[in-house]
Amino acid sequence: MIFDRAVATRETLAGNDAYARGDYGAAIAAYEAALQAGADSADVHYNLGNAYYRAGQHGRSALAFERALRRDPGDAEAQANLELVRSQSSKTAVGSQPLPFFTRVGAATDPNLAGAALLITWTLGCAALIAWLRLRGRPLPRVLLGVASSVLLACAVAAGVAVWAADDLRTSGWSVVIEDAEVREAPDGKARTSFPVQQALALRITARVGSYVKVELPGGLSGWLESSKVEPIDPL
Amino acid sequence: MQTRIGERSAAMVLVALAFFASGLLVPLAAQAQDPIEYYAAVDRNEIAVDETLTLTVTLTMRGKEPTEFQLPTTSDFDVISQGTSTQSSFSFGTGGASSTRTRTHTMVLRPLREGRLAIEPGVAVLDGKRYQTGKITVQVGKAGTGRPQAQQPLPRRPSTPFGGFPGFDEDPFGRRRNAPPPTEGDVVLVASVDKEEVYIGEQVTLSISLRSRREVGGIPNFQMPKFDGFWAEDLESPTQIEAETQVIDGIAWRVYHLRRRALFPLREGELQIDPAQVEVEMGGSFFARRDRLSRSSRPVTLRVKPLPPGAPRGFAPSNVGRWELHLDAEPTTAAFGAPITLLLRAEGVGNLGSLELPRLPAIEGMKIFDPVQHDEVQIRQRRYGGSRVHEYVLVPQRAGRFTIPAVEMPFFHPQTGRYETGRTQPISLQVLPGQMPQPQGQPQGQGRVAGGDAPPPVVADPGSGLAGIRAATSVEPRARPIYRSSWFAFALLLPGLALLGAVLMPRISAAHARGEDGRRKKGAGRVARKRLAAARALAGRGEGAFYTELDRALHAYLELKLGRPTAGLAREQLAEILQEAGVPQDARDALRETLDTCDVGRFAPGALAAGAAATALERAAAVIDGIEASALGGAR
Repeated sequence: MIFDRAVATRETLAGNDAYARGDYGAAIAAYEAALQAGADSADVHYNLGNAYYRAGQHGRSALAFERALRRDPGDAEAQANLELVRSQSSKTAVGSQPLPFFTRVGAATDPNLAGAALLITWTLGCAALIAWLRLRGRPLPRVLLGVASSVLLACAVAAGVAVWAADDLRTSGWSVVIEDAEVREAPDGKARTSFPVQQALALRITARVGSYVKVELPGGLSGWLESSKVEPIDPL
Repeated sequence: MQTRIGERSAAMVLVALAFFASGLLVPLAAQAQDPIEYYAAVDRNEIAVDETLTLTVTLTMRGKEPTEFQLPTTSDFDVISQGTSTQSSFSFGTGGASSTRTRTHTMVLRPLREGRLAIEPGVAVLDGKRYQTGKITVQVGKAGTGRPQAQQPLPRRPSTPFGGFPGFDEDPFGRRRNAPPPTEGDVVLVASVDKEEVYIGEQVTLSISLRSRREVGGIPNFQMPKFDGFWAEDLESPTQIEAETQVIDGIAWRVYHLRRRALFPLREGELQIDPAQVEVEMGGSFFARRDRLSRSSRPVTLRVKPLPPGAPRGFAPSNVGRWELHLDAEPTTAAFGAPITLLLRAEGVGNLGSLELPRLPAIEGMKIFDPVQHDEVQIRQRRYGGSRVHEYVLVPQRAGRFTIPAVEMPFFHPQTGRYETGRTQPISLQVLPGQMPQPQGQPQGQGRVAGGDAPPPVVADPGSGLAGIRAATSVEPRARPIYRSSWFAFALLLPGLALLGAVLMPRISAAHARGEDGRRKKGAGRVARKRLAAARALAGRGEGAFYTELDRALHAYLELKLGRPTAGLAREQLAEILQEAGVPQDARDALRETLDTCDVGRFAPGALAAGAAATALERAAAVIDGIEASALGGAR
């Protein structure tokens, strides 16, 4: 996708104006056009989430807030708005279970920050270790280098785990239910219903057959859902 | 005032009555409890050169005599006469029995010249503590200018067990025994200030005290002056007035501190503090009437300076002093719709009553109610101050993050003469989304969320609990995470390779070195056999060439095996080296015999029997085989 800054900026401003007027449909159209023009910042997704929420489309609103958080995991307002949307959408027994620890680490990790931390700590740690290997006969500097290399390499391992978690989160099919739907036992409209899911719920797509996707909830429940009812947070 | 010996019996009769009276009438004056009191006084401070004055030196001892004692000295006066009297007394009190002795030295002095003459202090030392009388100065005029001594103030009477009890100086019928009525100079009301030139709003401490050279029986009436042009705050208003003995200009006084006020001038120019007034009862008892006196203090004039120019923006003219500003929020994380309490607190020294705290700025998305004010007065080292708190209630109109910006309060610091600013730190508040809130009023004002790390300005979403959209929207294209960049893996690989190289290189070098040596040793047998074959070819050309080549071939072989030259070694030496290298005895013997044969063949041709060359060759081959089969050959 080619980024057209002029179009993206114009559409974003148009979306803001429409939102201020209370024309949420026009705001959604403008923000979507900005995304089509290549804009992909957390702010645009965040504003789009607000517009969808105002338009009553809580599923798409949650999706937009999730995408905003992917781009800026520290965005407290996006997090707050997402929780608000979820609190008003998931009122049935089948709701979001707590995410696994590894997934939560990935969600809270800024990939660029973690990547930079990995590169820097790994490089410095290796340099310190090489110096430690080469330096013989000077106990104090050797001890200091040994400690420094141990700490740096431990940090590198931690950063590596964070990068791995962030990448795993973004490639393991996490999606948001955009309309209330029923999860079935088989990828067939005639198959028995396992459980209903409500819009804004986050789940993971694990397989795809025809117009159905196999979904798995954080609590372990799984089944088949129409692919039109669910949208991936991180489209490939 | 001194108790005469002849009147002691009458005085003792009154002791019981005095004790009884002490239970009902608490004396105002408390005697100092130092082990000794030492002071001196003159009957006049101004005399003519042809007159005399009386110096009375009093030493009161409650126990031991001082270890060192010296009377006041002077070189400006002649001592015309000198006398000493001593009084002893014994008293019972709540703390038990105590005795007091008072020794009075009376000296009549005549000045030697005109001018301002001095009498140096006397010194008494007890238990390492030094007591001294005050320095006394006397103005001596020309002869014939002296005044009659009609009403001279009396020196302080010596302390007795009855000191401080009203009425002791009178007889049971109200007649004074030896105490004349107090004169104007015996009782003085003094109003003093700690500074006479101040800025507008700066504290001036006014102290009002009563000085008396006589026992004070009571103060039935005291009237403070009006403080026109001042903001007045109370610093001290003692409910029980106690005397403090002070020597002022060589004269002992009882000083009663009556009031202390902090005054803050409200306008510039010369301001006057009007006189205070007091009524004092002197002496008196059950049996005697009291003398009642009225005294007024002198007015005090202050010069009040205006504040200097250059006041910073937002300065309130009443904010003079030294202040610190604090801002606290509770809680800093709240549910949507829940109130947040914000405390803006100024602490310090100055006129707390007129202190103006800055207003909290309007915060977008937050309704701010008018503050409630609390004051807490604190007086430290006679400086008036304390803390003033403005308690705000904030009600968030939306969820999200807020920043309360830093608040500033300029003030004028009179000690430094400069304007300074009290400043708070910004506070970050987090409002979590909740259920739809109850309708709230409109926000107090529209503005931007302040703070350096605040999110972009937002368009408020009042009434929904939703954090508003970002008007200053960042529009950026999608960026691939750096760990997915092609260079990232390479950059990550480089340090690993460097580390691997650093670990492996020394090992590879060592292994390589070991391989060279091994190959060299391994090939030695093959080379030696080739040289034996070459030596066999020489057999037809003469014994010398054959044995020379055979000897060289064996030494070349041994050199390769041992890694050192062997041609110069003695047979025994070579045998030892081979033994250490693990070569068996028979191989060593065969080598020795072969080398000996070579020597004979080289240096004594014809001495060897026919067929010796072939035997030598066979033996040399056996030597090589034996060594190759030994540890030196690598077989073990």
